Amino acid sequence: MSESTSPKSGRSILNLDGSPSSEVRISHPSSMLSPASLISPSSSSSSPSTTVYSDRFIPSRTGSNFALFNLARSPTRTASSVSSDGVSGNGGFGTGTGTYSAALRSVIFGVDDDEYVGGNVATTPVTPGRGDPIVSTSGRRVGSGVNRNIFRYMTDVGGGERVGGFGPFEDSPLPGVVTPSPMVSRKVSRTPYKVLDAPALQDDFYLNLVDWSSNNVLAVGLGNCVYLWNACTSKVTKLCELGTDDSVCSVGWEQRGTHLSVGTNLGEVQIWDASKCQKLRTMEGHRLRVGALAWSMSILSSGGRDKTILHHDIRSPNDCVMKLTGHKSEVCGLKWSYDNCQLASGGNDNKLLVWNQHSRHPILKYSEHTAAVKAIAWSPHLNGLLASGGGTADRCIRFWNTTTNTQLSSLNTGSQVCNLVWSKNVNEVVSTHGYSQNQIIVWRYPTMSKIVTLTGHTFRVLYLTISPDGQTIVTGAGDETLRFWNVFPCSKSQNTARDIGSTSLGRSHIR
Amino acid sequence: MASRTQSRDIITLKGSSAIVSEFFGYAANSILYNRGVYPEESFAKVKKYGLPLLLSQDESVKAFISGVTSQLSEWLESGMLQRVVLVVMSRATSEVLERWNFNIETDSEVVKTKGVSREKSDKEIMREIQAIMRQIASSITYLPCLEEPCVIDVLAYTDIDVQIPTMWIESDAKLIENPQMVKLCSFDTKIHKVNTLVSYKNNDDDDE
Repeated sequence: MSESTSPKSGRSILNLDGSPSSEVRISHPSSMLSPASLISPSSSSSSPSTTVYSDRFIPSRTGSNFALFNLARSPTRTASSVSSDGVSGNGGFGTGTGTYSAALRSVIFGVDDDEYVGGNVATTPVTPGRGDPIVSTSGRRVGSGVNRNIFRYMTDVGGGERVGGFGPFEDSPLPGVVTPSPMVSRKVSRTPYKVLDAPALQDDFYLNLVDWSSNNVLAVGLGNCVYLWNACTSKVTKLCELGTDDSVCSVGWEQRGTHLSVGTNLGEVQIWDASKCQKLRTMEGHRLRVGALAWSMSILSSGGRDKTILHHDIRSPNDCVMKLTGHKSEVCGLKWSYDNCQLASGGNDNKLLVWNQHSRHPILKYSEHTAAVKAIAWSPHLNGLLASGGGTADRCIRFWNTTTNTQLSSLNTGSQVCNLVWSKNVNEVVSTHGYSQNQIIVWRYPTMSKIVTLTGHTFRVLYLTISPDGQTIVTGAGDETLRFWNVFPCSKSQNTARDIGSTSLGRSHIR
Repeated sequence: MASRTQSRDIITLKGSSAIVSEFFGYAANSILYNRGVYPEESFAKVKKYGLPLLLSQDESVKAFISGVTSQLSEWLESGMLQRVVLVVMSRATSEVLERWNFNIETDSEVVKTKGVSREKSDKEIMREIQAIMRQIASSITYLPCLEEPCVIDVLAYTDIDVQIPTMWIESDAKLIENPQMVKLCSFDTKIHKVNTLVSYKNNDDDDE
């Protein structure tokens, strides 16, 4: 039965093009559609305007009336659309009253919210699994394929933190008349501006081998040596070499940038004077390697594989002034808060513990992570706000308010979180990851929208530190490279300078 | 029609990009109308591609779409665009209900060398686009009805070394689990080939 397609005056009849050879049944959407497409694509070498369909059933569209916009949304039986048809069915409203009638309709009828599909709320980035419809030639998935980006167009259309989507909103007074105030996201370069060779940089999750001082010197632990790289002059100095049976497990600059602490595999904590390259002290106390170091004024905290955290006061003759126990496995993350009152520690026992200056036991204990917590970062903007990231089995970044002892939010990032750093210039967090993309993600807080994803490392990005001016991050991985990324803006204004801004600190020498 | 061609039948990279991004604008409007994302009264009829098509008169929609298409055309001219996806999500749950996927294959030779152009009859391209527009409009016969208020998102898949423009951020793919897929017609300007596919959430109670 062939259907002629001669358009009558004022009405147009919709038909589907396609070669007559394919069997198409429009009224029975079948579940398996791929090989025989429902609507055949074809290089339509067939007739141009009037097509003849021999053995296909095509629903007659004579009832549809484009001119009156009365195209029913679907052959539905729901009350809402019936009533909406009732309102709009009275001839075409002029465009002037279109908005008014839409507003009227939404106010009177609302939209039927009761029976929404209610599927799983996709708050987490969907891990691409089965059902990727676009598997054309190579299965291009977000997780593995790194040969393209996906961007989403952003408009910040009032009404709080809507992380996605653009559409009509009924709660605005006149739907459709919302003025979007676009959120300008800045351009972040996706390639590192510098890559340094770091031979023998170990691929061990539990170590913390890079730190950047406030004097603009980057300390890196390579094998059993510690090297200092001066960011202003780009000169490399070898600070020290440990014994042959020893290796560097952690490095940590003191807050003024004068002294560097080195944690070793044998459990020693050494204090070095960076300007003179002299060892000042060796402090014992740990039985096993010291993977985490954190300074707070004159107290140096060290966390080790022996499950203990030791406080050392470098002014006191004793090697250790306090010993904290609480972890049941290796301590891999250790950070003092910016007000130097609280210490957060993360362990291989999946616990995140918070201590204060004088406590021997943790004042807060968080067990929500299901993997080792190495990534810890305090917020420089809000007292008590703490971020932590879990390892392979957990993959989440969690935010905590330590003053009220609550978990604020949790975000599944899809891959193990190796490090976290909170920018002091803007309210943004950087996380570095391992399998499978080995990516670095910059997030805006608190919406946790991704600002940029940086890739390039071929091993897990285990080491992360931030420059003293807060604009550059350095990442290190087992691929034996250190990559410098310029991710954050200047704290006062947008910067275009590529250098590390050493002059802005007013210091160009190491005391 | 006059906007796309300098001389008939010769397609340049710029012209092809204009055709494709313009197509996307109309297709997006058509999807918004046919899927009922915006109320039908907010659309006005225009004639394009030999069909009566509906364009939204809502200012914010117009601004949104024109922002998207201008960026798309920039990317198309540099050959960086791989795919454009219009995602329809439930407003309440942010669950992805439909994904209108426009795959773009670019003739890289045209992008690399300046001044190269292709030949294709304008009429032919228009016919192909017309076919797609009709199919979008008729898609309502098999797509599950969207009973709840929806919002849309536009995703652009680009090459890896593209700078993020302002107004765009990184995103995940917003895929649908176990989708139903329907492949629509494609059109080809000889410089850009656009394949259209719509995937939608499998409705369990869809026993017609």
